[in-house]
Amino acid sequence: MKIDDESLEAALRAIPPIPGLDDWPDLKRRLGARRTFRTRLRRWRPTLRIAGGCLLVLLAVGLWQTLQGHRSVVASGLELHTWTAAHQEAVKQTPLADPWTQALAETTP
Amino acid sequence: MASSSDWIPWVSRAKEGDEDAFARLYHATRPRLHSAVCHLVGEDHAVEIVQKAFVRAWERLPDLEEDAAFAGWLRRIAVNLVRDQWRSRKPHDEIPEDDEDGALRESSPDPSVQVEGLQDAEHLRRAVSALPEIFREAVVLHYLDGFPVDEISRILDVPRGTVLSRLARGRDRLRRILSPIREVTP
Repeated sequence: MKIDDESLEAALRAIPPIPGLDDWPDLKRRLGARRTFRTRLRRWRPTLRIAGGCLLVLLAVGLWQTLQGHRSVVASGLELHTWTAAHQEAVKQTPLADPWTQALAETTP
Repeated sequence: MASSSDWIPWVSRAKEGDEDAFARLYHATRPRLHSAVCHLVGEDHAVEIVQKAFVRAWERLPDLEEDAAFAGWLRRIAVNLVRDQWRSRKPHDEIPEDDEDGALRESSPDPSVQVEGLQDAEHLRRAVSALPEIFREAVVLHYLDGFPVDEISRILDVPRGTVLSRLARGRDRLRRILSPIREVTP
């Protein structure tokens, strides 16, 4: 008698499972023994993500402030340059306009 | 056993390192995995292979892209361990990946299998365990473990057509193992 595909498939599907014994304590021990840096890091991943985000924000703020500081230095440099140029021009036209020259002229016998 | 939709949230929690979630996954998915591995390598090796599969799964969980694919992904890990077991048992033989004829030559039906009929689960189990390994994988994953052909194709990393061919040839081989007995059964 030839076994048809259908009954063979049905018979195979009807084989009851062999569930075996649950041994979580053994598995837990194995996981503990093989705990690597990577697996330990995983537990802290959410915290590390938040900390990393905060650090990024801090870095961004720091960078922005540094750029602002650089701009004010540039601005101060420009102001100084303008003031010096104006001062030198004034001294050229009126030598005694320079308080140092004036003081020197007054104290020189 | 919890249905797969019940344990999917545990996968993402276990990925974050939650050992309690992994314990729940273990309790929910172990019985079916144990049964499949038992049919592939026998009960003596099944317990060890299942525990090793879960250890490996725990270590590699962050690499799992799709939480819903956990069951198939775990089977793939287990099948690789089962193949290692087969290799260690016969160090000079290689498991043929694609050479189906080679597999047919490799193992003929076990004469000790005394199959009395399709109704006897124990005899059917013995017939399945007498199948060449390459066919046994497909038959166990599909008929006993309930995985669809596409999923088996991913688990075994072979084309869909190869899985279908292995299933057909596995059935054919089972029929040959079972038929002589059926013929004499009144």
